[in-house]
Amino acid sequence: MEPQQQASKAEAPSVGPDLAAVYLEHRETMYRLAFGMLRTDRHNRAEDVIGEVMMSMVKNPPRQEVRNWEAFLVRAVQNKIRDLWKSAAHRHEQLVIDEATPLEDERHGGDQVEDDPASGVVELIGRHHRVQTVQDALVELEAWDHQAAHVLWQCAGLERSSQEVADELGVSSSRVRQISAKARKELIKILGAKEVDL
Amino acid sequence: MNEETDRLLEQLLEEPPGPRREQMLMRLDGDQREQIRALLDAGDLVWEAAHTAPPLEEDPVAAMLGVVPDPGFQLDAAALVRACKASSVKPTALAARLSARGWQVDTTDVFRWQTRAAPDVPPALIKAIAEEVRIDPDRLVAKAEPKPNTLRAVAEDVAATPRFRDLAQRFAQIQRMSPTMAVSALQSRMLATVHRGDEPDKEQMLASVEELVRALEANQGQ
Repeated sequence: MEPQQQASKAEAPSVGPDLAAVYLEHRETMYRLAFGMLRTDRHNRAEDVIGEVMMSMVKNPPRQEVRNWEAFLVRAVQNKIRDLWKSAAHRHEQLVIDEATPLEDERHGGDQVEDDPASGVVELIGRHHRVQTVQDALVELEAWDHQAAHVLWQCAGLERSSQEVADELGVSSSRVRQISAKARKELIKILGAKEVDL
Repeated sequence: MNEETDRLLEQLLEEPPGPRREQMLMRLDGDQREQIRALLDAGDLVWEAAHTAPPLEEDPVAAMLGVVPDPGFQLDAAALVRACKASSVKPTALAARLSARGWQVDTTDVFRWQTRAAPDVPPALIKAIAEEVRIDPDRLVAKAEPKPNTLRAVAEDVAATPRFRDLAQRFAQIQRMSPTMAVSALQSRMLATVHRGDEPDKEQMLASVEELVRALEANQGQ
């Protein structure tokens, strides 16, 4: 059978961007936001929240044109996390994907999510640029003192306790804290040279 | 600094941002507080640098949406040429239509896809291409041999089970995609999920897929 003869079976072209493509472009922003909001949340995971947001949008695509997808997705993730925090499920049980409650059409599926880029998104993007500078600075820190950079990454980046890192390095936990503080000071200097003020 | 301040500083360095940390900071005098806050801010930026999106192939959401390239679901160059010809869609037009749908694609990409294997094209993009050239996505796919991999082998064992096929069928209906693409998406998701913890066995993989499909069905039913 020739390809054209299959045409009737194929789906009609959709209107607006594909959610998969939109996700591919903005997943970094969504993850960073979710990780940041859920930093002290022991119940919810960023990938579950983002998965629910995207599943909801697949089911209920925005009914109106979205002017700024990044802002739209940021707001959807913020709304979802805030809803989770409000929910009884958050207080009493761990969220897993099979227990995920459907998102309210008006709030997450689409067109009621505000997509005003001024609403915190600009700040978020600015923060991301700073983090990119920090990643460059960490390379310089690594060259300055490998162990200090390692300790800082383990303690501040991965939130491992100073005792855990101390056991691994065979030093005392107070020594680890000293190294971590020294690394932070050097990082501030490096960032200052890159015109990032803390 | 006295001993008490030293202890407070040590506690502060391990305290995540929040009201508790702010309360601890308030116990320091003004100059000290600003110095320590700068140290904490530096640590927070390091934390943010450590918490970014997972690599695409380990991202379960990307797998679910079909944006993880799949060696078992690759674009067939010859089939694409035939489909473009049959639908009278030129490479420039195809690139423009895909760009309008949000894909980062230009004409050189389309020419490349038409001349050689394109393992970087994910299933969701194959679906979009198929819609634009008005053909069933499965007809644009060249089956490729995946590299030997224990985990992939388990996933393939799972994919061969009747229970998985039933789940893939249900997933295809919910997501409005072809059964072949549904199999690919669910396999990618199984593999992506594995990176989040211990390697699951066949039963665990099936259970995880079943949970996903049920959640989607429940979502759809609302």
